[in-house]
Amino acid sequence: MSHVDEGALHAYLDGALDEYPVAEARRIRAHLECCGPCIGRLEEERSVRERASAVLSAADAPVVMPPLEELRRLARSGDSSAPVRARRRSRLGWAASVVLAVGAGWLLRSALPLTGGDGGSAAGVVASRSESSPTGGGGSAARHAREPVPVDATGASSRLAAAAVPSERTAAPATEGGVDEAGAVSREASDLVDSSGRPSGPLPAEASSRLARVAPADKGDTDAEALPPRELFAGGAPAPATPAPAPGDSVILADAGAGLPLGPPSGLAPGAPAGSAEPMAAGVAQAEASGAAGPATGPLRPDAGPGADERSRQEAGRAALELRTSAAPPRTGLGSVGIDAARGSGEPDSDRRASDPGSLVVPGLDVVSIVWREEGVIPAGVRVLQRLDAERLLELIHLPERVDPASLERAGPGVTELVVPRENGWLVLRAPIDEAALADLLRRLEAAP
Amino acid sequence: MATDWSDVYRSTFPDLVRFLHHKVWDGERARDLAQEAFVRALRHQPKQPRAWLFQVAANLARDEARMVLRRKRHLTLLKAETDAHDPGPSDPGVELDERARWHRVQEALEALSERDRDVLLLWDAGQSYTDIAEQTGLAVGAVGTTLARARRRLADAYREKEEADVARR
Repeated sequence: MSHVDEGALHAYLDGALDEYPVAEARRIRAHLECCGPCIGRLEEERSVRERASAVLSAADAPVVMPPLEELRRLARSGDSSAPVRARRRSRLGWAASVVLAVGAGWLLRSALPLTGGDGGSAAGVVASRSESSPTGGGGSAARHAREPVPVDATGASSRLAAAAVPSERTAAPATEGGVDEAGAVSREASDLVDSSGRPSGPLPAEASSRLARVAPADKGDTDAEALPPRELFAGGAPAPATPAPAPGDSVILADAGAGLPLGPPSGLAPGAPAGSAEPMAAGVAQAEASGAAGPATGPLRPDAGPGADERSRQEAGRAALELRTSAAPPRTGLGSVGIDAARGSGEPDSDRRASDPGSLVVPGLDVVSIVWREEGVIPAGVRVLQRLDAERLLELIHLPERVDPASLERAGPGVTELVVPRENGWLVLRAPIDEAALADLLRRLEAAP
Repeated sequence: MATDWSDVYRSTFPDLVRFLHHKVWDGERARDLAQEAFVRALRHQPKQPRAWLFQVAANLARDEARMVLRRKRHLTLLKAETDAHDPGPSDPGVELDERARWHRVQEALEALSERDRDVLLLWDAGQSYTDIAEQTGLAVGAVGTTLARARRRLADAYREKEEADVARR
């Protein structure tokens, strides 16, 4: 008869054997009645258990319970922060998860075999504007990402290129009304360089040098233009400079119209001309922006061959992640968010979801759009639309902990909603299907590799 | 069946504060975060309120801990908490001992891996093996093993810190 392991001994001491399978619990109890060595070990473990409990009890805090009615009132008022004197919680852990998850997702795409793009996903990377939310107590209702505005491939690439240069500090004006260029990536870059294209703040030399390779160092202080995408990515002819992004923008990381299957992805076809580099991953763009993947003659040259293409994209994606986790925290913006959180926690598995791209989408469903939600420069979630069938969509809203799911607009009639607490925030699933089917989709998402 | 929130509140709030306190090491913040978790629960009306509350509390505490870590406020928090814990007149020697003990507990807990610490604190806050398993992704059978390891490490780490403190005096 095998002896009882220490886990079972502790379960016995904790009175938790009832939660074990009946037969196993019976075996353990029977064994402990007749096995001398195990009884000895049981006493030893009992001592350990008591010592640990004593240690924990030595640092208890006095508990003062506020009236439940007061909490109910706060719940009705929609202000969960009221009893909390200062909302000092970090927003960074969640942001790091999103940053890394999106980057890792693109890495994953790059690792898959490329299919012939032929413009089929012309809006591979699209920028749109998130309307600035009205200030005041009801501001949370305006946190939703706005509808994507598809732009042409060149524009999309240009916008990614714009991400490589200072945005708010450049002379390039933000567009008014319509589409302007954005968002997270550009602001990250802008936070790392000053108006002259030089790194600002306490940047490590590594990050500084990367930025310097894409910043318009030879331009005047207020005349920084975007490095055109073809020059940036493929060494081709420059494309027109694009305006600087404005705060509140979102970056859509998927085909906004046709539905972009996650795998195998549409993308830069091997040997495709530089101009067809529409579905460029943000991570790749960011890596290019960082210069880590090489200068203009670098990795995404169409004539470098398909193998080199793939490798380059993977390297670039990795470099994007590397930059986010190796640079010192800049003053503000997404860059600081991602970097700070990734480095700051010091907890080995605290960001484990961050490297789990599968947790953003339900595998096997076409992705219609992925929109980075923002409030100013603060990330406020990721909204993913996936196609269930020809008529129905699944909406996934990944929210950081600080954003209360109750602040979202209510789901429409006939739409089922699930709100799931996750490690670093919330996941809201909405679809015009029954709850069981939605729960099944949640299980598929959770089980994603 | 509708949740009896008064009952949930009475039975869970103290455990939640205890759990949070061992994570954020600030009694005031622990109470605030517990309140915040409850307000959210009242709004969302989860079907399994106790498990839900601990999940949310763990999220809140994790964020809090990162913030605290980043600002390197450990000692400040400890001092503030100790002051808040015993605001009345007290023997300075006793107060000093208590402060040192709290610090040792905190350091001993920090010697554990995050998962071991989570499992131990969830158990300490009254969660069942099944609840802990659901919250941490462990199998029920692995909860006991994790607890055994965590308890032993905690007790050992605390004893080492205690001995080091004695040797320093």
